[in-house]
Amino acid sequence: MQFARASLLSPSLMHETEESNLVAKSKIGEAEAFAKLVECYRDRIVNLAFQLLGNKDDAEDAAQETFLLAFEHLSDFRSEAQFSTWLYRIAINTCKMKLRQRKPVEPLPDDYELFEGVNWHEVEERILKKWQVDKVLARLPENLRLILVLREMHELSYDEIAQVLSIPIGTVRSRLFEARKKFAQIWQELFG
Amino acid sequence: MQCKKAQKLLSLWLDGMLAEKDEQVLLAHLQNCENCRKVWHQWEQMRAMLRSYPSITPSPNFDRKVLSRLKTPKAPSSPIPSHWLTNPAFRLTSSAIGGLVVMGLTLLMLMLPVQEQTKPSEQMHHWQWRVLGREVVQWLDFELRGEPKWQGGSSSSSSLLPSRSSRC
Ligand SMILES: [Zn+2]
Repeated sequence: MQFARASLLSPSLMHETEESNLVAKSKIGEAEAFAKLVECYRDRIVNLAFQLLGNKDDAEDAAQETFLLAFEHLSDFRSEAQFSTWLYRIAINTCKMKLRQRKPVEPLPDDYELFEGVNWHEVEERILKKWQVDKVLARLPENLRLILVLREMHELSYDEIAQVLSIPIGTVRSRLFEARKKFAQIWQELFG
Repeated sequence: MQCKKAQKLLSLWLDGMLAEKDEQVLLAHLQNCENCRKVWHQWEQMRAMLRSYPSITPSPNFDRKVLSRLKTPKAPSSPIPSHWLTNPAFRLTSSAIGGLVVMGLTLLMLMLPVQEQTKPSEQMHHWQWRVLGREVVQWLDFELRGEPKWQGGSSSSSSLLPSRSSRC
């Protein structure tokens, strides 16, 4: 596990025209073009899945399924939408499905892959912090958890969040407020 | 202004989504309200924690795994023309070969010493044969298709995949 922050910034990292070219080529089945899209979004999608599912194996599985589904359904993608937004939506649905396949009582596993591969001599406060954040996120209702992950971890704009979650901007505002309040409240309850 | 209203503005302010005139109102409230200043502090801390959440690096063969599973006629250049693979007659033939292998194995089993056959616990059940048969067919299918090759390049290297360190 790497503790450096991945570049998850949302604004199109790839030139828009280049991206739509790649999407167009992928639509007609050009695997090389799609490979470039996978390369571009792989880190963000795997990390999104990691934040929602809590362990690396599930995250990679979900991310792979996301890309396969995206490729299969590219014909449904309309070019006036952002490809990244569309991909995020598929990823979120894939993760939700995986969560539903787990035991309904515990949406996130308690033993998150927290200490895997950690050199105990280098254990730092951040590991503890991750554990605490996971605990709190696991106790948030799904819609609040999702919006916090998109806003704080992926730094998506309000517009992008509205598109990804198919909700009005007003709902993005109020839900983020709710999520912050609730997160702070649960944190207080758990860790004082 | 009520604290609840102030905190709604605070949430927008943290995201840079607050209009300038509302910002003045919020700052004035914060100056006078210790409770809201505490909330502000908490939310800032929460943001810092969420933003420093560790990120993971996908495994090195991630792209290859995805690309090898794409269902595209253009993707793998197999030693066998792709229309063969979708041709029912060809698929039937490969299944038939698989079937023959299974039959061969069955015969081999029948030729084994009799006393071993009479022990029921060591006999293979019908379903076990079927599983074996399916595996053989899948294996044959895999052998015939060969590993996916991109642009006809070397099947073992991923050098034709874009490198990880490019623009994105
Ligand atoms: Zn106040």
